[in-house]
Amino acid sequence: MKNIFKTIILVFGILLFNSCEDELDQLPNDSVSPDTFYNNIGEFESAMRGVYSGFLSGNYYGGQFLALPDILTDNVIIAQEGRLSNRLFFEWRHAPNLAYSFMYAPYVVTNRANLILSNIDNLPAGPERSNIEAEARAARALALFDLVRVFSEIPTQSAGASQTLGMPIITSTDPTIQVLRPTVETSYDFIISELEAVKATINADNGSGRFNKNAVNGLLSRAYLYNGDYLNAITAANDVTTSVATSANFPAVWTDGSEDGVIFKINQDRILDGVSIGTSWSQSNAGAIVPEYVLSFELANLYASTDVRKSSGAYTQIQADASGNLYNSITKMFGESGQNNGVVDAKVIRAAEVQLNKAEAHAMLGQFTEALTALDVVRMNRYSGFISPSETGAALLDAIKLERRLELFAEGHRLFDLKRWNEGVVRSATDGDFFDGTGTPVPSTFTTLPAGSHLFQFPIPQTEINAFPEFQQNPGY
Amino acid sequence: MKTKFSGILTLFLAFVVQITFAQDKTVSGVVSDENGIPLTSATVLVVGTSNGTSTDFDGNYSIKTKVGDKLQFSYVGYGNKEVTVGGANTINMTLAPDNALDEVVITGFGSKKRDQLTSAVTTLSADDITKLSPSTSIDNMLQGVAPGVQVVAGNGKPGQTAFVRIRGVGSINASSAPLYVIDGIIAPDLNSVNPGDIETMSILKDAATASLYGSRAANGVVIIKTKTGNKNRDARVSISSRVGYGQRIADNFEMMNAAQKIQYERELSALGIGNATALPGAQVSTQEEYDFLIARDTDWEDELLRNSYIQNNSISIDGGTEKSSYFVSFAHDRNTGIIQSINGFERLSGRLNLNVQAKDWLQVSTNVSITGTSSDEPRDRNNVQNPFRAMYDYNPYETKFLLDDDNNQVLDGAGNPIFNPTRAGFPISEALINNPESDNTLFIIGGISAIANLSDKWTNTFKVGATNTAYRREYFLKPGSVLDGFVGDADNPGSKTDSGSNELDLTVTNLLNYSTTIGDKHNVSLTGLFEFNKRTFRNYSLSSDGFSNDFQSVQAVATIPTAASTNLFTRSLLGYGGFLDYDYDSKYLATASIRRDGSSTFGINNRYGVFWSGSLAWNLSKENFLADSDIVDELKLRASAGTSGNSNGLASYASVATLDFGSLNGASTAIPTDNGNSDLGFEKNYIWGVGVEFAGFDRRIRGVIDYYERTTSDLLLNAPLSSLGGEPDGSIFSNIGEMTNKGLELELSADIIRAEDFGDFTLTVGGNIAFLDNEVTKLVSSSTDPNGADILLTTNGDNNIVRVGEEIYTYYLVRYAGVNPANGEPLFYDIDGNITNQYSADDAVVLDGKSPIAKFDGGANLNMTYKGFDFTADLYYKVGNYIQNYLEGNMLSNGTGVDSNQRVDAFNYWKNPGDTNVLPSPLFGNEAGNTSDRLLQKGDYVRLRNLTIGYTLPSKFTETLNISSLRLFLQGQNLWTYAPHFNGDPEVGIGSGETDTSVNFGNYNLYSYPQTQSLQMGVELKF
Repeated sequence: MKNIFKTIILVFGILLFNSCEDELDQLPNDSVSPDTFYNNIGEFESAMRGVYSGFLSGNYYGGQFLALPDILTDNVIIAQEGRLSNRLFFEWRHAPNLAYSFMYAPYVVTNRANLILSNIDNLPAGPERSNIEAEARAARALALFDLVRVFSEIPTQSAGASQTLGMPIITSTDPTIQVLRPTVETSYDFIISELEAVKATINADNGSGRFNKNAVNGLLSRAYLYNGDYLNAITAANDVTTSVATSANFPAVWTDGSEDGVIFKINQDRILDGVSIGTSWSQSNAGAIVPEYVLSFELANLYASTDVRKSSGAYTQIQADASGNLYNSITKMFGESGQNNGVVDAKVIRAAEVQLNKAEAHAMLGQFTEALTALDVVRMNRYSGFISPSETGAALLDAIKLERRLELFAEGHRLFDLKRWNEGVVRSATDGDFFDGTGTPVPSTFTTLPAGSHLFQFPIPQTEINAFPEFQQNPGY
Repeated sequence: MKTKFSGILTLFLAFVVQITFAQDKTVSGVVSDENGIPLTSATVLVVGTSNGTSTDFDGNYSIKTKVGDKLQFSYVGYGNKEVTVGGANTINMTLAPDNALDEVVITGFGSKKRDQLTSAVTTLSADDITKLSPSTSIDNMLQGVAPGVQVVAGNGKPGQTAFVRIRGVGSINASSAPLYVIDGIIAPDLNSVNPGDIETMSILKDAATASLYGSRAANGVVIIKTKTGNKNRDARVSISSRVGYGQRIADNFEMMNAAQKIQYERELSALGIGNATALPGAQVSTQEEYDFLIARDTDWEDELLRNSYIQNNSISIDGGTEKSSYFVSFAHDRNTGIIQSINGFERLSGRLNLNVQAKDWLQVSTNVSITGTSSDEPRDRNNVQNPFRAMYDYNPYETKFLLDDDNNQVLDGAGNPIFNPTRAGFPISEALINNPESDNTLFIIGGISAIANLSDKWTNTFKVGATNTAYRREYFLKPGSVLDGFVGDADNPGSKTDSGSNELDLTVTNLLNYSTTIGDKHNVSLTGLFEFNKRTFRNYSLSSDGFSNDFQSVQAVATIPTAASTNLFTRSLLGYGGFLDYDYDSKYLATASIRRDGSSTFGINNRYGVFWSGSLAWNLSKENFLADSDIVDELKLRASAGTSGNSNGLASYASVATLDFGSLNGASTAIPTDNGNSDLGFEKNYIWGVGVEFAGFDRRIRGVIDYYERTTSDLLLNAPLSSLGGEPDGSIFSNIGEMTNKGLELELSADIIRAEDFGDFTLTVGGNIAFLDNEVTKLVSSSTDPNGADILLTTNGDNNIVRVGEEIYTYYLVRYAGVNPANGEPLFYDIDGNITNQYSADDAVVLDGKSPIAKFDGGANLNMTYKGFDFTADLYYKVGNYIQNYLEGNMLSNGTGVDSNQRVDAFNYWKNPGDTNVLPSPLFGNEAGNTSDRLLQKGDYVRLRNLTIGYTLPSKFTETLNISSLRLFLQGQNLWTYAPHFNGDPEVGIGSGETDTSVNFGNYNLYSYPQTQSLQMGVELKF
């Protein structure tokens, strides 16, 4: 009898223990495994918003990517009363890891898009699936476009640029993937073919907060222009139906009171998201700003008094710091109406750029009449009492470049435009940081970046080489 | 009802008695010590049975037994003796004082006599513990007690636990703290244990014993066994009570008084230091104005701090019946802390340990404790909300309350004085009253076990243990408080946060043991283990704004809720093990163990770890050639090696890929946040060691020497990934790193004088020392550093580096080169060692040999007794660690902090060309303030941890009072400290409590709760 009890105790114990093995599979309660997600259109849309959220990162369109391409150029000057942030960029001192976020952020977006694409078969075929798939592919193409703009030469920059090092095309979700750099040509081919592939399937009515048909065509016009394929740039631009923002609506575009002319932007909620895109330029409190970068005196003077970008205060205003110094401050991303926290939607592509892409493409083909028409579509909406100077030839091309500089200032274009035109950066050695050109000028060491300098291509970050020693560094580093 | 119950009991007892009468004889006698003094409550046990009794007041016992039985006599602090019952009905027994050989040591999943141990274990008995410097948590009491166990107090906050490192730092990203096991249950927090309940404590330092705990034992194991009652003994009541007060340990430097501070401000203003010119001292232009300020002279320490009141009361009752034994205790601890206006720490605890011999083959027992703690929490961060920063910062000519031009208090509309915001802009005295934060924790810990003797060789032990920790924090910004004015919502004044957690930790253990003796001399014991552990942790946090009064803080009265969140974490651990113990005639000993553990934290491919150990020991003193030695009483050589694992301190789901939910522009997002690592596994620890234990000269000299080498490998580190894969955090958490700790531990004690030498006088001295040498040997490799890339720790005040070939957490700083005698500017060394006046953070170098970890530390103690008097002194010392003295940086700020009070030696700045041994000129204050090793100071110190004088009343008094013993004592804690190199208190644990640092502790001081000293008197009463 006693032995029976003892046996029961033992058997009871053994049974209990056997059931414990499964307990070692524990999963988090505040997240899910990517393997179990991506089941229905709602989840795919959430995941796609995750992609846009990646674009809104402070390392990407949420800040750095819009600011740094201007900080490196003649558009701005560092304000001595500021925190001297991003100074290494301003002075072209490309420390080994300086460009880390330029590489990291676009590939994070790529990974998020690839997760959507690798699970896309979970959705039934149909317009919803096509639209999501097109969005994800467009996002991945844009991320690669940004990577090659930063780290690689641009095809139009020099005769052999297409055969130099591009950036890897990543279509796998493997986090440990290591791929060597293909040529610039291969990278651009992928960007263009992806955008071409999705322009038919993406919805036209996704709204400006998502990739849409106009956004894809707009980006195509940009990509073709960079690639020197001017005929296709024109075609793509012609496929964009969004009109350039009117003068009247234009100021409100920058406080998110209007979407006029905005083809694609990353929307954010001022309180819930609160990404301070504008703090690369200045922070402000009651009455005074802490300027980081302000308009170079040269650029400030290029804005005519009839220019709505200046007269409305949308792009620049004369503002004071706490010590009373006055600056041509950058107000393009100052905040929503009544706010000064720098939190606004991140504009990625606007109709004005598309017109300027088209104008430039025509001009490069010698089609000056069409070029002037496209240019004037922008100019008539920016200058009060505008009368076309009717330029042609080289003067017209200069006018297009000037208008591009004025219109796209502080939107992350200037460095890449100079680069693809194979022009250098020339900063004034005498103009200071204050509104009237007084103040501290740029040290003479940092006034000239010659055309074709290797510094136009950022160094592959040292941490990347450490993790992937075979990854090819750019020449000159 | 009661009568009925007694009736049943009587019947039952009569029945039992009748049966036993039939076969037994009764033996009686007196148990006394070597001097013939009767021993009260000595235990007499029939060996191999549960039949036992204890002696009465006069040492008399009487026990039923039979011829041929063995009687075992034991008494705490005395060696056991055994006698076989023969024809005589009277057996008188004399016991000799403690024979450490027979001391029972609790090890892994059982216990052993000390001479059967094969591994390095430090043990403390209840008696030892009562002689230590008292604390609410036992870890603080261990400082200097066990060689190789470094204890650094977290800070001086009442109820604060300590940092304990057994044989060095064992991890970088996981925990380096030892595993605490109380009665077989993993302790959630050492505040859950009343130190008075502890019967014995074993610190398992090496592999042979610790490996039995497998994947949780890498950083050593501390095993605590609480007291139990004895069968067949009347209830014994022990009462212990002490009260006293504590205060901040005085600094070894002086702050300026009003006159000095005014003088300093004037000097600096005259030098042209911009931020001095507007200060009151610099503005003084007439004697009248000067006198006016001097009249305000305030000692801010007196205004903000107070003496703490310390109180401990405990009562325990233990005893037993024929088939059961029990131990019950209640304790109340209170320490108000040294901060004005807020209460400190309070704890109430109760315990019941019950053993019942349910059947002759089945014993059931339960241990249950309930502990509630509450603590008022001051802000422990480096800002104006910290009273300990305020105490040093506030200027002596500033007053607690606002004064008018005649130095009379300004009153508000209600007639109350108005707190002075001071130059810091924030009145800390007001904040202490109006921004209360309190922490409350309830620990319920229980274990239920059944031990079945399946046969005389097979024993099965089944145990279920659980701990429930309910934690609750409340933080109330009263409406109208100054802080609410800064951070609150003006439309909804006042805010409240209630947060907390509930953790359930459940363990099921089964042990099946087979023990046998072969051929009389081969003793073999085999144990199989199964263990399952599951921890469920839930937390919540709720906040609201808008309170209509300052005395109701429940959120039901709030206007608007502002935040709410809950979360849930679960983790499991599954273990199987087999343990072998063997000895040949107690001369040659060997053990072996193997254990396989699986953890839910780790990757699906690598969640199991196998851990093993083996050990050998040789009791030379049992060999014939030493058995008769007059000099050597005990000599044992031992060696052990083994492995263990570590997963503590890691995130519950460190290995899995995750997709998190959030929002963008108000709509949901799903974002991959980590790709996980399905190969993630345990950190592994391999340790080997050799040791000698000896006693000689009639056991007057006793010692232990140990040497070990410990290698922790597969340390979890973040290995950077190429960005190409888009890994969200840029790295993969992987088993990569490796480091070693080597050490030598010595322990020696000697009975200089014994009672038998001069009569009634005893003197015992002892000491220990432990040397430790740490070296990082492998980190994540990269193309530029194939052996492993440095890990720079440079956030939150850390200036440390983890580098291959260096001690972990070695300082990484620019070297300060003193003051240029020509102009008073601070000089630095550049990276090549050249002196420069151009500071550059790029000149930081590894300061080889300087880290927050001590090179050696230890303790020394002295015990004296004379008749009823006893005297104990314990010293702790620590040598070779370095601390960044950030307090000094603020108090000798070279003018940059002239608006705050400064140390008196701030006057010693460079004034004239040729000045040496001076502080930099305030003209170069900002340059001098650059981060450098200027503030890095050696943390060596010696501290008198404990000084106790006690008096035990002679038995002729206690007899008349009908009690068994009464002791009165006076105890002083931290009464004396010697720190030759460090300005301030050298016992630095937490730098700044609300700031996370990678180094964890000891690398800087930054206004955390200071250490205190105390004086307490008490009484211990037993009846």
